[in-house]
Amino acid sequence: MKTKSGSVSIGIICSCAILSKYLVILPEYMVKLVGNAAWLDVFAKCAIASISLLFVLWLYKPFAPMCLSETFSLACGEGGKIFFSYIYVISLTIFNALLLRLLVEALGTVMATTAPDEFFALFILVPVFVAAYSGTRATINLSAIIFPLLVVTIITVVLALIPHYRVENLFPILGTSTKNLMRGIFVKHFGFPETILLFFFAPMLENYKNIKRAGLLTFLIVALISVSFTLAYCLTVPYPASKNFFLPFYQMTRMIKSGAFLQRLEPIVVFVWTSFVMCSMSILISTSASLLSGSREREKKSAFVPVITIITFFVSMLPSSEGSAFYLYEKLLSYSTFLFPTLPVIILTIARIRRKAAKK
Amino acid sequence: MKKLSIMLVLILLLGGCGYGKDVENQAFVVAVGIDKGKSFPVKATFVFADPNGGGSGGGGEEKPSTPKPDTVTVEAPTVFSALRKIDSIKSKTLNMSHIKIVVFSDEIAKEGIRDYLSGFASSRDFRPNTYVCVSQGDAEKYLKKVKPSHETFIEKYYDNIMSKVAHDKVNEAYLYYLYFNVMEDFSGSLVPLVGINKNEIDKPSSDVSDMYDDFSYEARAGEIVRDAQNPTEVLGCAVFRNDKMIDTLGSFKTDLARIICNEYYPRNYSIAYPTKKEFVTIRLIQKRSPVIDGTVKNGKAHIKVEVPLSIEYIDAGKIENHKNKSAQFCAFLEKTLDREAKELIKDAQSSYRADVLGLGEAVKHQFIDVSAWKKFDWEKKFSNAQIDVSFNVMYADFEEAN
Amino acid sequence: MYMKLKDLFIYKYTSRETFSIENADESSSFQVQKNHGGPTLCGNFKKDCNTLCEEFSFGKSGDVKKREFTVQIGEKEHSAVLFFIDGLVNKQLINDFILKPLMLKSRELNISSFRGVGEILLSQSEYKETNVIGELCFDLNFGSAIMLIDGAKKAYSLDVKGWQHRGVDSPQTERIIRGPNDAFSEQLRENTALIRHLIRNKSLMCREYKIGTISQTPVSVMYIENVANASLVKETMRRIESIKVDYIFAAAELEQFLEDKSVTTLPQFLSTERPDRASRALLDGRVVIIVDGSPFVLILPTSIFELNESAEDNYLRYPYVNMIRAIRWIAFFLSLLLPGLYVAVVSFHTELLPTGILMSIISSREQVPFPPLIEIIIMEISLEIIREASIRVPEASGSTLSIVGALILGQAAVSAGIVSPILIIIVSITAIGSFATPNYYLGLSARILRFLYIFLGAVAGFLGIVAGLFVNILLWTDTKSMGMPMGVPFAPITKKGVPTALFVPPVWKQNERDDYVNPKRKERQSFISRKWRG
Repeated sequence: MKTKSGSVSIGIICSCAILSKYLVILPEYMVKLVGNAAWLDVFAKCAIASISLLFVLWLYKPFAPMCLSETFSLACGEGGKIFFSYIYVISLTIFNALLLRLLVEALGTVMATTAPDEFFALFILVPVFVAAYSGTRATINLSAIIFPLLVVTIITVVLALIPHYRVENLFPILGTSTKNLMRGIFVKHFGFPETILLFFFAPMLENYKNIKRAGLLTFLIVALISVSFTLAYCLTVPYPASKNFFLPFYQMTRMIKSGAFLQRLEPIVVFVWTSFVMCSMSILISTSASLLSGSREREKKSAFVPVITIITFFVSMLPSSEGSAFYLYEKLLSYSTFLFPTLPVIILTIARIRRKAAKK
Repeated sequence: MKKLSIMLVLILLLGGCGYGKDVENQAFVVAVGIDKGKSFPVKATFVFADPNGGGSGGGGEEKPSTPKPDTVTVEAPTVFSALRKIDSIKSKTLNMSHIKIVVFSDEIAKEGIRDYLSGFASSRDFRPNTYVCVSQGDAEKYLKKVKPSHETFIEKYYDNIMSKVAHDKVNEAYLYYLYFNVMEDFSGSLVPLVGINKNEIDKPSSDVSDMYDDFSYEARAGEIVRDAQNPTEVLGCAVFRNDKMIDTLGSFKTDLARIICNEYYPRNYSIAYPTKKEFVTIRLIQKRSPVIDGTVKNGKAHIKVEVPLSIEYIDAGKIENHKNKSAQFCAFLEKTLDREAKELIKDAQSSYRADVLGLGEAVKHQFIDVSAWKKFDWEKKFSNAQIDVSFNVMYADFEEAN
Repeated sequence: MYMKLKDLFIYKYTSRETFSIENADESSSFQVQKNHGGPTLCGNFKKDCNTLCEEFSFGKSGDVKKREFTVQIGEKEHSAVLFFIDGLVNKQLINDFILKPLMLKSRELNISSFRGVGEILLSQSEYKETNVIGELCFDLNFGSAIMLIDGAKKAYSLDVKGWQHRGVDSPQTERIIRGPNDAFSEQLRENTALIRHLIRNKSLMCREYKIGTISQTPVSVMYIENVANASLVKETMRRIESIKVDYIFAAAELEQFLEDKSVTTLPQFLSTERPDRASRALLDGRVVIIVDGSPFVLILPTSIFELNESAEDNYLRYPYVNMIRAIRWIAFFLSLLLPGLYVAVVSFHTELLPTGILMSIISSREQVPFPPLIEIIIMEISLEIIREASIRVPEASGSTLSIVGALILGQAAVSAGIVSPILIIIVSITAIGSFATPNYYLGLSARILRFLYIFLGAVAGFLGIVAGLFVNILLWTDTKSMGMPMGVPFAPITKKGVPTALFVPPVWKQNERDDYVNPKRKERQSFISRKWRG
């Protein structure tokens, strides 16, 4: 009964990390290829990702509740542990940085000020730094409070849009073409590299059952929010127009008009986007720091947090424009299946084989 | 580390002041009119809200004064360059986030408005819920003539009058809906029509003598015979094929389109019955949505629309014992509606060549994906599609049930 | 490991000092601690008399009185001396129950030995024989009379307390409409009695401490032994014992010595002046600390959500409670964020406002020469000044102050064009909102943080406010109250806590104690608490 709540918290933080990028940019990216069948696309992707999660969990079962970085060393020795930890730290940092850049650009559009990107980026990074520095547990606690508010906000937006739904927008049901849909589902993955957090937090969850529960909860939340959100987007905006629509969430909240009062809600996207991204960035930075230091204690990893934060800031300012940042992010996302589930599957398989050999 | 983060926050606080724009230093545009210019392609008219009217001034003791909206007209290559020119005229920063209405003159609308719409849609300034309409004659004149009699603030007038006519399909009055429609390859749209009453300009016209009941008199904005303080009207709609205006629909045709598209709300009609000189007043109610059934056979689309309607008598006029004779009257109504609907659909298929009623949605279900739908080529198939509209008018009476 | 509730009590300093609870089952008798050891009396009456005169500063302090008399024990007249502090003791008691028996009855009854003095003559309920000078000093200063008899082995300490104090009054800061209306007073013993009057159970424990090497302030730690979590009790005692300070007068001071985190605006203990509320907390498995001389007692641990609860919540039917709690949270967030949001909206998010409201804001701001930030800071600071002044001002001129505050500042500032009328509304809603917060400290923290949010809103609009809220919630949920995270039951999530925190059920359905306090006894009432429903 008691550890159940632990898995809920971990599930929430993992889904926060996965959803943050989704809410800022992704529906646009989905719709570009598959048109108004994007919701089917997202649903299928969530299903595939959860099946792969189950497979990884099955591979991981004998090692539970070991931190994934420990299995690195089981599989490939201490050197391997360092190597793979660095791979994860670097890739997560790059994802973080690009997401930060995209959010910053989006905020620039939404708030319509003359403020430079660096200003927004610093404004987001300071709270992220404080949170990452306070430790994983603090961030998890924080997200447990903020997340329900965010979900309520998203649900409010989805419900307030009901007068604008046109069921005809969903047809033809399979989007641009069946081929594109298949390509969208299987080739252009929207990627769940952040699912790996679950395995890094495993020691907190004590046993395999709780880890599994947290993983399934993560995917339940992600699927519910992303599918309902995409469905709402597809229902409101018809296909050819949705192609050149920028910032779907922002535009959707702008379209709400239920009576004279319930309209002009768009500044809430600032709230939803930034808190999602700040939660996910701080948890990724503090996880990266604990991977680098090999310890979950605040004192030991405190040196790494500022370093990673500063690197994230500079990497996020590298792309010359919003377009190039988006392009890079898209490219990286299509390779994100390497981070999860490919790499964990390989490592866990090796670890299993070595373990068996050692037993013999 | 705590001190460091506090320092960082302080630095941000110091560095960030000045990015915001104070509200009193901004000028809020409430209406935009777009005409054809003489020396430049576009003549744009901007109406600015006057916040100082309506009392509650800074001192709190001033007497309420009527706000005088400020109107500025400039000629420029595009609307956005006109905005730039306005910057040199107005001292305050322009803010477009409170625009209520965009008025295109019919001249501009006939040339095509796609560029304007996509410009507005991709700019952050224009809100999706901005109303769009087409003016009979100059948009500039219309905007200057509007004199709200109930509202103190002009923006409220636009909000009120446009929300009465704005719907999803018929009268695509919202900027984004029109934009969505125009972005589709083959589409038709009905956009509300505004205008200045001709009585103000000319003498009362006399060519309405033989068609003066509500079913046959197709009035457009500016054609109502009346005497009122506000010289402007909103009535009827402009028919768009893709992004170009083709024709206008009168008041009753607009209602009919609404009935077919399930966006109708009950209204009263006075109908000449049984003779041309006598009137029956009924309330036409659409309680159930029409059943639209689309099928594709041998590459040809068949669309069947069944519209249930019911009536209530407001004034039975010369129908004696109207409760018994209502069947006869209903049949008359069905016939009239049938005739009008056939005319509308015939116009759509042959002269407008635009699916203004959005009937294609009923056929679209049959196709599995967009490529199949494109292959079917609705643009060509629409003209020779078989469209049957049938009305079923009933007299809802309590006594009948007894 | 992570969120196991028993691990909610994570103590940082357990390894440094250990504390054993040997006498945990001793009940509330006033224990004098062993640390009063030291010099003792030598047995020579004259010498001892002089020593005590010196120790008690007799002659130097005017309120220390000495009375010399003789007692007849056996055949012999023994000279005796009585020390007491004028004002602390009840002289009637001294006359009737010490001097009269010793001077008159001793002769009537023919007491044969010194044992008879204590057993027959002195009818005090609290009576003690000791030779330790430190103890005698403390007792004297705590309202006892100290008596020396020539020939007796030990000195007598006789309880004759009787100083002037306030009686049980109605609560000043926690007024409620329905429910009991008595409050704690400055008397430690009376306060413990008020609690014991409500919890008539032998397992109610009351451990006594003296804090302050000079002031020797008595402090009681109360808990219910078979309900309160043992490690919570142990940790509380450990912290209290380790306090080294010269003097302490009130619970509010002790609070600062006990709290985990000082750099936060969040109060980490609940303080109340209502015995019913303290008793309820005890029965929920919490610990209550009472400090002599302070009408407020400390309840610990507590959470952020409990800070916004009032004592009345337990006496109202559940629909009202839920409504009132929601209103309180709205009021709290208004008082925290509204000025910041106003600044953010007028400088960054003008599209948020309906056009009508926007126009009236513009027209009201047209004649104001300051930007919104300066305008609101002027107004907030003057409001804070009025508020601070209204506490200090004598009651008679209070109404003058409110007239000056309301009329001069409100009306004149608007007509002079220094602030806009809309802003006056915002500032007054904010002020009223902070009064609706039941916890004084929580209201104060909203008052402080409000200025931060005004700055953040002026600098980066909603982004600034979101960033501020993010850090704020982070620091608040990271705070611990006696080892329990303040964010419970939401951060970390506890299974039973979340539903009750969101929606308060009727009293008969509140079957379990708060699981995050992790009490020894989980059930509050039986699952079917209303047997009559069959």
